Amino acid sequence: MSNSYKFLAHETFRENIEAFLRKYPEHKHSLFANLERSRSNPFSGKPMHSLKEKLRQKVYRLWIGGPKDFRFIYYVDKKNYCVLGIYVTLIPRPEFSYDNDEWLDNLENIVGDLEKQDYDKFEKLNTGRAAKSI
Amino acid sequence: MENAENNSMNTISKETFKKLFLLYTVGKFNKGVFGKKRLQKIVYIIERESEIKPFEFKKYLYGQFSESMDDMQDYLLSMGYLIASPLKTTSSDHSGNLFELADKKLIQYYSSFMENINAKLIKRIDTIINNYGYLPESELTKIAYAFSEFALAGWDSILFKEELPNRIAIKNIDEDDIEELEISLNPRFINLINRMDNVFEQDEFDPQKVKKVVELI
Repeated sequence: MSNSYKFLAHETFRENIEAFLRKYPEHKHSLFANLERSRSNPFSGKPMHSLKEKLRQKVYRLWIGGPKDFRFIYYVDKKNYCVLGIYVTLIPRPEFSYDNDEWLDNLENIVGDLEKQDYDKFEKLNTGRAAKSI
Repeated sequence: MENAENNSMNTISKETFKKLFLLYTVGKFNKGVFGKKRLQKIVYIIERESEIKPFEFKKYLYGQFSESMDDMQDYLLSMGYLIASPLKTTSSDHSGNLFELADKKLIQYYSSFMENINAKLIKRIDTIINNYGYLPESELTKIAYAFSEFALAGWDSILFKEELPNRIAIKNIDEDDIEELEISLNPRFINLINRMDNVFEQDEFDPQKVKKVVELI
């Protein structure tokens, strides 16, 4: 059995990336390439060393577009070989504040449905073919 | 402190700065902080000598007190960045809890940001902690009560207000590191990511049971 990672997306994350694509269609390639990168090489993102030790190798960031453009944040579950999309920022980083509640409302939806084990709210995203086809 | 709202220098939000300031201050007490009241008084002394005032202070029954700093300290405790343990002493001078950084190595990390925000401020913090940080509580209280602005103020009156711009300039630190600081010091994010992690660590959610597969196009 292959141990390749799966990309798991909550419906909120799907809506998040759809909103991103409506706003920035020119970044479609970069978005798909980075979603695929997070799945195929999850630990290649930027880690967060200042988090508590048990979270340090679980939360990563990648740039969409280029540095200072848009952030894609994801969580890696090593045990189950899965990557879970958390958020893609909808405004460029210099203007985006992480004190903004909107991205955390999205995360709250995701976490709430994980806790409720609401499997219907999640889907496995096939990111590979899309990334190659553009 | 440079207000960076109108230039292109990298910045951190004032809420992030407040947490950073408090973590740095606690971290500079090399034996930990002996009690909440002591921390309140030390921060008060730092702020009264500085143009940078992260927290508003009022005159309360037990001296100078900042409710917003108290809330921030609670956030940092619940986020797991600070730890509290009962003080092991019978002396009335050291009652209550001992507060420390949960990960003491992070003081270097916090220092690197503080130095690049305002080097004078960190010198002032270090000096004040050296001079007052471990004075007997009765002596520290006497000093704090003797400040003229405190002695002359009425109960519950504001001794000084918070004075910080919304965004604070930071030199020589790249965007990735600033971003990491902002994310990792956001209490709501920390709470949610811990909950997410617990779900997976405790096998409460089995990704194999997700049946829907979607082709990204």
